[in-house]
Amino acid sequence: MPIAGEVAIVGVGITQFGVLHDRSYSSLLAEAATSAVADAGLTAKDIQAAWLATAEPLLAGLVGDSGAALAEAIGFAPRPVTRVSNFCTSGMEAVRGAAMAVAAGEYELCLAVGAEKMRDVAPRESLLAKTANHTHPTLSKGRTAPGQFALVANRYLHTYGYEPSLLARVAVKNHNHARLNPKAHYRKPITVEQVMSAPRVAEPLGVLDSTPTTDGAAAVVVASRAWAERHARRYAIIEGVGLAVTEGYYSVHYRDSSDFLGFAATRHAAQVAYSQAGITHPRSQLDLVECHDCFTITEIVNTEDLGLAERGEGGRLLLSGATEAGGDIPVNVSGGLQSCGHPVGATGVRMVAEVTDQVTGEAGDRQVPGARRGLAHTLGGPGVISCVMVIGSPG
Amino acid sequence: MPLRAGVVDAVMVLPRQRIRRRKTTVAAAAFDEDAITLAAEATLELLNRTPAKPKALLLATVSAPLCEGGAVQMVAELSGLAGVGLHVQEHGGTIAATGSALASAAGLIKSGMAPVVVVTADTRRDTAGTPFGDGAVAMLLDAEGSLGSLAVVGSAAEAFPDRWRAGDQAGVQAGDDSLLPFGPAAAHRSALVADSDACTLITVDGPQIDRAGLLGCAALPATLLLSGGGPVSLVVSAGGITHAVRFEPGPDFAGASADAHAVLSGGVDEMVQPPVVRVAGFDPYASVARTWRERRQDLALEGARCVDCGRVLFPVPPACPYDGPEAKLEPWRLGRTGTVLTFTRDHLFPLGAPLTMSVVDVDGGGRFYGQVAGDQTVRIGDRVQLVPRLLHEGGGRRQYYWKVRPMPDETTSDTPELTEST
Repeated sequence: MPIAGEVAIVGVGITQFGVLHDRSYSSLLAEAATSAVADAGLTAKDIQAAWLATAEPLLAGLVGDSGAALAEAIGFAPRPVTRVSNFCTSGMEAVRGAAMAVAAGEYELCLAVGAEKMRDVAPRESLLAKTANHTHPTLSKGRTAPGQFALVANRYLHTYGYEPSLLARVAVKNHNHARLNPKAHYRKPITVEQVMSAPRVAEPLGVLDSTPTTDGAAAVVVASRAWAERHARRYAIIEGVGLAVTEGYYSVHYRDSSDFLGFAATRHAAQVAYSQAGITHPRSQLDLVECHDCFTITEIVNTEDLGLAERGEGGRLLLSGATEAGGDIPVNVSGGLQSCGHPVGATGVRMVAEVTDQVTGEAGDRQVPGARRGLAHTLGGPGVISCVMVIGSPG
Repeated sequence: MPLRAGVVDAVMVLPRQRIRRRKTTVAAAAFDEDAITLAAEATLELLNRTPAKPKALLLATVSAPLCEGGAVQMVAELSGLAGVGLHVQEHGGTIAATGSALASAAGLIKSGMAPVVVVTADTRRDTAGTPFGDGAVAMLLDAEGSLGSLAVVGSAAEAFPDRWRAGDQAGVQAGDDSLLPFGPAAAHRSALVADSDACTLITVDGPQIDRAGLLGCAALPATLLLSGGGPVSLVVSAGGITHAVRFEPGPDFAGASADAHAVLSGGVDEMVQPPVVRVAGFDPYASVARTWRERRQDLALEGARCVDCGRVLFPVPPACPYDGPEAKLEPWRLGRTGTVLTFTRDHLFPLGAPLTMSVVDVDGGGRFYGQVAGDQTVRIGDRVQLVPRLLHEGGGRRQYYWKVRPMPDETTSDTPELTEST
């Protein structure tokens, strides 16, 4: 396959993630893009094409629904910019698009940037009101993003018999990890009691089971392996990438294909990425995983869908401590979506940047010792689209 | 007798909630119920008990949501009766409209158009917004019926200002209640019915049926259905319009009456109805074109079944998601009962929160995903029904859809607290 092994991440940039009222969408976009380019030892003029991931432009005054947003932000005119949107996989979709262009030989140096301004409107009026108002007049009424993962949480707890407090442990672990991530939205440790007594959102999920509503941007510079070997200060290689789309728009809960215990999209995407990367036993062949923990339950089922644990054993994997920093398969050492937040288009790019830093030994306080190969996973829709990328150190 | 019909079956439906109104307990519609959903529920239950292919559907109500636009065709769609060949009528004006609907039904039957469904439903409110007593009764009428026979034996009409509600008014207005004894009801009864003392007079003012209330157009058939088992003489008089009805019970009356009594004594008293939480900005998109195009999906839960893989698909995709465009799809209507696969109690959705959302494995195939009716909740494994409800009023038009309701014989949680799943 043209991408696997032949495309490199040669520079990364991540802005602060949080409630950034003094920062515009454009300024976040510009900061992420220019810091990634600088990290690659380049200037913006060296980049030949860009992919822009913004999933919620309606929240930002309809900015970001076209590649035009980048032209002004970093003086990119007249070069091509493709805006991509694929629910919560948008960021990794941008990286994948840039990677395909580089693998095709169309460009040598591309930028993949994700940016989102979600807090110019109050959280309740943001995604919630948008989805309540503008979606299908019958099929989607009552549907909220947390609600859809809560359906999985209830079915999972019922089927496998875990205590509800299992979910809280994901939040506790990831908030604890974020102590070492200055870019994260939330950085303070929390307790199981705090998570379980927080206001309910969609039972059994509460506020602290949920990713916060966050502004932020992240960018990576994508180059051919050949360019990276010659010019890059440091680089990581995309060893495999899979994107899977499994269901339609409003149908996912009405089709009997889901058992509400995991997401087939992740399983399909992982299968493609693992096959390209030559991974047959992910738990031992990956050194770290950044996966889509939009809600606590999601991380647990993700670990099963990614093959880190058998079906039903994700809870036991979590309880064993194996997915903590220092464990044998650290999951979300960045703090994940739980602590970093989820500026939708930025998340996938942030994960790719994080894994790149880890496998090139530049993750600072968060460094997983000896990390050479990591995985980034996003899941959107919810649950109908997934992108999985395996990223490793060269050689 | 000229205006006579056999009663094959009759069903009463009351909302679950019971509230105190002055000295009695009345049935009160939940925020997602109205005259159309109550009428549809009663009609669906009637046809479920006694399968029939009615040639006509007659609705009597004074609480139709629209002054122009129609209610009966909504009831027809929700009951699965809509289509070419169905004759519908919408009777209104006063709560005596039931008499005119029954008279009309008798005439249709005599002319060979049978069987006929007469459904009566009301959700009348006073000017303070308090329900008088909400409910519906649906009757299946034919030339002969084992539940009994009824006849409209006489009528009268003059103008009497007892109660009215103009198009832009939300509540039923009273004139001067001291005028009521001067009204024509008593005189009409004496004129139309030989033995007035044995005749029950139904007016805008009473009688109250305890645990139901005044019931509007449904008062007459409800009184009939709840009666003791002998011949019944009823006169309904409202606004000066009077109809006298005589009913003779048949062999199946006792069973149907017992069912109606069970409905009456059911319900949840003094329910604390959580305020319907509305967050500023809830204004769901609506499109009349889409409403029309997807009417069978929304109102009849019509989906498809893939002939190749046998899966039931709802909503209907352009092609089977599993076998692709080459596979043939045939129309399929979702069943109305099922088992809860999973659920959540959502605190965020800006209308009706907290509300329970549920995924239901529908009997016969397919899944339904939607709201649990009223403020109820469910657990995994519960047996449930799908019932017609008002979903919202986006775009200024009432959007009807289906909601999940625990089966009556389940012990269900009436409180918002989620029980721990084990």
